[in-house]
Amino acid sequence: MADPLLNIAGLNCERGGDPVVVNMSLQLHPGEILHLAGPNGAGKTTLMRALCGLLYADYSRLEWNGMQVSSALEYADELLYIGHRSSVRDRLTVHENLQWLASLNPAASLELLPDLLQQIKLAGYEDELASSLSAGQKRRVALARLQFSPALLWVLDEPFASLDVEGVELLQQWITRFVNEGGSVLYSTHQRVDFPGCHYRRIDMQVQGEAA
Amino acid sequence: MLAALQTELLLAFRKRSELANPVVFFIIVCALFPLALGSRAELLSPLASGAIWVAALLATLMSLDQMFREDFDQGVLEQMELSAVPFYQQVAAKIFAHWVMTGLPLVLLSPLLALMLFMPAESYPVLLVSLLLGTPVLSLIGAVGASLTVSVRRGSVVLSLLVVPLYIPVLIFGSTAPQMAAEGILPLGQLLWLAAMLVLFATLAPLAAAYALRVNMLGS
Repeated sequence: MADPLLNIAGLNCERGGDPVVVNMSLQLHPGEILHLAGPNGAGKTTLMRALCGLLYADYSRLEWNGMQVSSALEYADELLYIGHRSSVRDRLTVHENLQWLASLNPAASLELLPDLLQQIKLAGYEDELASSLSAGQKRRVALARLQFSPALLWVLDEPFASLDVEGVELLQQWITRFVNEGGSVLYSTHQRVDFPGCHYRRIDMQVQGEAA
Repeated sequence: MLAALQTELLLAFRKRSELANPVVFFIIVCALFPLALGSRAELLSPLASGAIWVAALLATLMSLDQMFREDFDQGVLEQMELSAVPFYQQVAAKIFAHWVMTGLPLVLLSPLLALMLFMPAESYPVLLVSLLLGTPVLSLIGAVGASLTVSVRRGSVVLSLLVVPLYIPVLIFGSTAPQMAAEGILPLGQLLWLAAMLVLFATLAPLAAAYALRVNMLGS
């Protein structure tokens, strides 16, 4: 098998002073979907944020694309993190939000925008302020980024939350296509979502200290 | 960088009703002086530049708390941090947009208020130049304070305590320059000091603010 895209060992991270991830090892290969499962408080978000460099963490080994790196921020522009907070700016319109999100990565292209707006069912809403959108619509705007980003890894924290059935199906298609093209996805969800035909792996996380 | 600047200016423009608050405060403070002290030129004109500068300083201080708060809470800053565009450049764009919406209106309104306070005519150009050099410094220093306190709820008291001491040199140089001009001396030294401070903080403050924001993000 090829080199893992992300290879981490001996990972420890804390949330509010309590250890939530203890001595964890994790490998993620190109073309692989990794599902983080576990009850609330198991540290799924903490782990994801640590892998993106948004949280202090220590590790004995951290490799990106076969290269040793000293901090997650060194590969931050090659991954795409979409967390609980929408990161959609309320005072910008849908179109301006997408432009802003695209500007975060100079390699991103917005050529397919009209088609993308159709796909996320927001055609006709281009000039609406994001503050007037529903939670699900905002999430679609945030997720639309996936289609114009050149990232190698998607880190999606509860991406299916507040999406309707069609939205979930669309995101499933996007993930499947991305993975078939060699991308990697790390996501968490409490919903039942399958990816038939994909290289799918699941990690069950436990609340630390509960077992003892 | 240019795209970030464009977005931040657009956002600042959309927030103009909130950002008008400090500007209105500035006008009110300056307008209250003649009412409280009586509109006598010999009394007001020595006070004019000091009053305008103190009002400008307090107006800027009022606006600081909101500089990063909303973007921090909505997860916008973390996306900026993860993006391919250097974070400090995006922070610099935010600071510049903040100055355009709060500092620049103060500069543009100051001649009108100087008139109300009987400022001598020869001080006007110096007042304008001192505010034009000084208000960006207030925004830049304020940005460092605002980024340090961004995760503190009700952090505005801490923010004031942190920032006001650093504002004192700007206030001294800024308010004495027009006074010297009124006495017929060209206050080149004061203005050059303000310019030097502007260069110093324009270089360092975005880096410091970006670092402070990052530390706050990691801890949250």
